[in-house]
Amino acid sequence: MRNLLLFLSLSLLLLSSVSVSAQEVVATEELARNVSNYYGAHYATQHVVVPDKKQPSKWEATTPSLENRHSLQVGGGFLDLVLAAALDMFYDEGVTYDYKYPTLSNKLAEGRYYWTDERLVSSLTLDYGYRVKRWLALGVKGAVGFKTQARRHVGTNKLLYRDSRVVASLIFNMRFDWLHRRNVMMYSSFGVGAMSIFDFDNPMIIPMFDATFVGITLGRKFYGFAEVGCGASGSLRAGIGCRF
Amino acid sequence: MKRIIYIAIFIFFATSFVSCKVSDGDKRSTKRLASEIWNASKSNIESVRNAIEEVIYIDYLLKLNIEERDRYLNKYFMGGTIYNNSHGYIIRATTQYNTTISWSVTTNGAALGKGEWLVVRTGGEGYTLRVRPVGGGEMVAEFDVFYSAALQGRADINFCYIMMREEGLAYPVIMGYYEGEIWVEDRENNPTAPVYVNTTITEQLQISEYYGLMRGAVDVECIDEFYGAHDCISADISFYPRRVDVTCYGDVHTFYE
Repeated sequence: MRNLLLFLSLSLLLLSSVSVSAQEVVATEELARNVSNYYGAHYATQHVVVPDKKQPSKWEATTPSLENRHSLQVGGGFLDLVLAAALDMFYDEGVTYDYKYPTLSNKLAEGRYYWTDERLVSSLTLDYGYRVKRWLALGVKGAVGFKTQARRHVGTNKLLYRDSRVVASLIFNMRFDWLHRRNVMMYSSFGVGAMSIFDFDNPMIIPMFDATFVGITLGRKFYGFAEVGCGASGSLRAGIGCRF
Repeated sequence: MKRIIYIAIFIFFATSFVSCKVSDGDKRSTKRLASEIWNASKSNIESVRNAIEEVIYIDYLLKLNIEERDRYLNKYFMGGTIYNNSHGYIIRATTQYNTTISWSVTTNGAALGKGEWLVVRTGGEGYTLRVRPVGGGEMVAEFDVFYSAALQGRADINFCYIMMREEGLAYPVIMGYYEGEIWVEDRENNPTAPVYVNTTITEQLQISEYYGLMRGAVDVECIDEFYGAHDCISADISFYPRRVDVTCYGDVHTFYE
């Protein structure tokens, strides 16, 4: 009997101490958070502490395009004077005969091979931008354009060789966003960089610029864009992009 | 996945959008190739024909008396002079460009068609031509070399000829037919990568001194090692109307001559 009483009293004491302790934690949570290092580690699995979220400003809340700092876009552009000069479009000698001497081999070659149509892809662009301020984004743009013409066999149409001129530009770009709406953004940009011109046997690098007078994007995370400008990307440009 | 497909479709259309034709190329036609190969082959046929005709002239010359020889030399050998030597004859002539041409003729004491002849022409377009009879009035002409150092050839030609008198002409003209093959190697463009023009006479070539090529057919194989090209044509020659139908890569082109 004595032993039974002892067991019951110890059990009561133990249970009461545990319940008191739990009650104290719940009641003094704010206090414990401030004074105890032990608190966070011990209760981390039981309590998810949600950090305070800063309320978005009015322009951030109404312009989804500004919620993401990064943007990546691809597009194409029409020829402009700068690209036309780089692609050597002003010197049109027509179909030329490449042979200096009228030897049998050369005369046969003139009959055996013909020039295909000359085709041009004026500009394909890949553009990355990082928004550092609400109105300013810095980025880098790569553009490539080329013209090409092939010489083929008249009988078999087998390719003999291909004449190509490729221009590739790398432009460091500043974009000024001057209109923000929920689905629409308008901007202008300017950048400088370098252009490589790869010809048959004449590679060279020249300084190059790219300017966008007016550009517009339509959409939020995924968007389409259209621009009017000049330089490495051509004159009229369009494409798609995403913000992340 | 859907987005990737949309982007791929967009890039395809965007590329098509900015891609355009800026100048027209050539019209694809085998006509010029056919013409060039035929002209090369025809030139070789004519060279062989000229060489054989020169031998026939020499044979005719040797049958003439002294007075007529001078007139004939004036007409056919640029006013040259004929000399006897131990093997046969030598004819020397000077062209209007002061080039001396000589024909060294070894007849072995026989007329053309009766025994083997060796004719070596030097100066201008030189050749070594061996002619021997094969019976039935036919002869075989073997060229070891003709043209120049950059342009060499061989030919095995069976030929037969007659001399016909035409009204109004002082001397008889040659008419004959030719069969065989002509191989020409042209290194003018590149010494290490020649052009081979091989002509096989598939149908007797009837040739007149007066009218030139009159009838016949040839297959021509043209190999240009510089370009790694191998082209073939077939040519049918007809006299009435005077034209050549050349088949090249399945296309038939008619050239009036």
